[in-house]
Amino acid sequence: MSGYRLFLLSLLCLMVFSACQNDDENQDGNYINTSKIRVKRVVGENTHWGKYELEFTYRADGRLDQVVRIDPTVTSVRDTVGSFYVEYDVDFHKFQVIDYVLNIDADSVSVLKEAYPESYEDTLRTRRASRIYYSTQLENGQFVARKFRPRQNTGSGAMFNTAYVNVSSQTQMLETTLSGQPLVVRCYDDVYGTGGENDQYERTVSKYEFTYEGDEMVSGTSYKPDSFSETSWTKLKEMSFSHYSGILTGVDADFYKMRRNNTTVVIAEPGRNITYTLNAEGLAVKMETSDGEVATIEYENGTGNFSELYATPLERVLGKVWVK
Amino acid sequence: MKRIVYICVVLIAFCTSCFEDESNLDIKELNPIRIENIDLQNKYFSLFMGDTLRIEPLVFCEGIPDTKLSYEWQLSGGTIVPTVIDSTMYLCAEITAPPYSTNGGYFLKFTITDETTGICRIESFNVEILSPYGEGILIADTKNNGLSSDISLVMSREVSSSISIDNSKINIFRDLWSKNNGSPLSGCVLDAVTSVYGTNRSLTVLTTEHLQRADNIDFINIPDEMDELLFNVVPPHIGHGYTSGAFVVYTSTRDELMCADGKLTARGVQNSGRKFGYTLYPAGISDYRVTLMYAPQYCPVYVYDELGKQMLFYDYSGCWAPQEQASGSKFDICDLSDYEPFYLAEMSSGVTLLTKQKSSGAYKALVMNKQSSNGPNYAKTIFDFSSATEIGNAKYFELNMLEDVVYYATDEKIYVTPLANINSKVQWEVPVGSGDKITGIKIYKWSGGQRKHAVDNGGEVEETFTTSKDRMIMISTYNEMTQEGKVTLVPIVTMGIGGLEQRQEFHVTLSGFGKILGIYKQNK
Repeated sequence: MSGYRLFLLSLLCLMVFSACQNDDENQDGNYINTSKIRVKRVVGENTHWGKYELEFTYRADGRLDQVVRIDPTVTSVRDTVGSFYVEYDVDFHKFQVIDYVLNIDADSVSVLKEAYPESYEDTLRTRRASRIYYSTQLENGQFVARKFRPRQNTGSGAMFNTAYVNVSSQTQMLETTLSGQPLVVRCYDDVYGTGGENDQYERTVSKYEFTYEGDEMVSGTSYKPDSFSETSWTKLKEMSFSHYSGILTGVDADFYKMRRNNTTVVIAEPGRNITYTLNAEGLAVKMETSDGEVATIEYENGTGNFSELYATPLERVLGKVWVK
Repeated sequence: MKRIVYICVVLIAFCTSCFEDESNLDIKELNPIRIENIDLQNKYFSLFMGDTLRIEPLVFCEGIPDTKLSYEWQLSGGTIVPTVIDSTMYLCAEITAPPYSTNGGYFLKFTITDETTGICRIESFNVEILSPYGEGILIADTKNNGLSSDISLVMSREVSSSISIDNSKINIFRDLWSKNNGSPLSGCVLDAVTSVYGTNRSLTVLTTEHLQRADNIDFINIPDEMDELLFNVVPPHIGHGYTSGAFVVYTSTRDELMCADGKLTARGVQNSGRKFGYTLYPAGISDYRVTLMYAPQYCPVYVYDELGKQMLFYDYSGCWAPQEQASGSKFDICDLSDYEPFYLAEMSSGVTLLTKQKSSGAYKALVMNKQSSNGPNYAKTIFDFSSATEIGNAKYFELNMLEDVVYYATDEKIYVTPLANINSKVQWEVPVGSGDKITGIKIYKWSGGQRKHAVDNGGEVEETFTTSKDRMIMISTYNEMTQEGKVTLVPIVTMGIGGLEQRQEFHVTLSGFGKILGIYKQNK
């Protein structure tokens, strides 16, 4: 009996201690990933890859390990035509979307095909080069996302070159509140030149500042530096955020709109609309865009970090990220 | 008893667990002020004076609103007073400080202050300011009838060897004296000369008020080199204002020869010479008044002494009068009392004194042999150009060392006549009805620069470039109504008759000046 009382008293103490702990858990918002499921497979079609299938594998700690891209058009051979590479360190990650591109010119392909009609395709699979299509890197608090594209003309003979060219780069420096919510995002947007000037870029500097009511982000304002302004900055654009029960349900700006209900998210950007169909966890299971891209997304139980790797802080703030 | 003790312990624990930790939790780590978007490993900037210096850092301090950061960009060093040139995050300021590159140039201090704590971050940069002033021509003008004057620099392919013929851009740095010294030159510019001998550079300007000196790469007045300070022994005519003046350069030693109020003084620019010597007096001559000077290539300088009515000469040995001339000479340079010389220069036959003969009223060109030393045979020949059209109305004259012609200008027209066979032709005139009047003509006699003219190649007009030296005339005009002075550069295309390019598209007009006082060469 005394043992039972002792047990009850001890339990009471534990409850008392527990009651005095602060609830430090972050609020669910559009920025912080609190999902208990993670993306496992994406099957879709876009203008760059055509039809594709992505298969995700994770490390034991839940971080993304690798993604392979398979060409589903050749059903007899599950041909790996790309991958997502990830590298981690303390406060550091590198994420690359890599395409495996055929690295011999069309004339050489014709010669091979003529000489080895039965096996030339096997040879071609070994003559692929890795080309980075998209990459992100988090280092020294700076999140850098870079976009590349294939050359419009890869040339032939000695001039044959399949290296991708620079398109743009965006560097974002995130400043958060004490609870980890975005407060300021400072950006460099670099647009690369064409032709011989592809290694040069024109940089635009800007920043986004966000305000909160309680824990809910309610508005944002973008600025550009201005040496003629007393504050050194000039206001560019404003955006407002709406919430329902702590969940982001809408973003309104003259350059971007997002609307979310229980089952659907619609994103409108200049020249392009994206519609996501959501599952019960609030993550996209289907994506359709106004320019013809489609994808279906499958999930598995577990935590993951895919969205933190591929999406910039600003994209997450603006509610653009629905595959996590 | 044990039970009571246990209950007490549990109750104490119960109470303790609910005590708040009242230790100071309001401790915030100070985040550093961050500077991004510029390479702080490379803190050196180099630009031309007058250019805009832009440094565009992204500065922030996490946890501190950007509005609570203040900025200060301060430029110091050289001879300038430390000056705040911007107070925003992005530096964007026109650099008006004079050229300075010693020990990396000026010191630029960027101070960012966190106004919530008063903590500052300071970054320093070196800024080298270069002179943008290269080779070209200097144009002196006045915009207030001679109360003050200024000097502008024109750099273009016509007058600069460093500008390619493919570059048709004309750079005019206006009013450089005012811009670099805060005020214009007092009085009217009488003449100016630039000399460059190694690191010994100078622009010496004689005005009706002062004799002044500047470095010709920055046009900044050198206070220690002005009037009396430019002489070890000050001649009596220096320092009281001047009524006439001119400079020439004795080419053999590159000495500057200055004539101020008719008196000659010389400055050797070799061996870092900065000061003029005492007044030069030829042996046996106690007084003289020089009104005309000309320095032929590698020969003594020819000068006309209006007081003694004779020619004098200057070379490395000093100033001297010519020896007695041979009997039977066509004219006697030791006695020119029958002539009123009004212009001295060189044409292909020799150094020539344009005169009006007192006894006959005729216009005579007295041609002298170019001699490297004293001799009895200076007089070479005489041309009479009295019959040249409108010669009586001519106000400005010029000679060209490549031809025996006289260029002369009335208010509105430029005539050229060969001297061997007087046949004046109007080669240029001010635009009809423009109100412009010619105020000077001068052939570009310096090296450096190429001008464009047209060549008729079998009916097809082709453009071609030829050196500007001796093949381009600079015509100064002034419009009393608009009070605008212009300099028009016109190619000389037909040697022997002084034929000027008639197609206006090959003329270069430099406008926006006041009344033109003189045109001088800005050396490299």
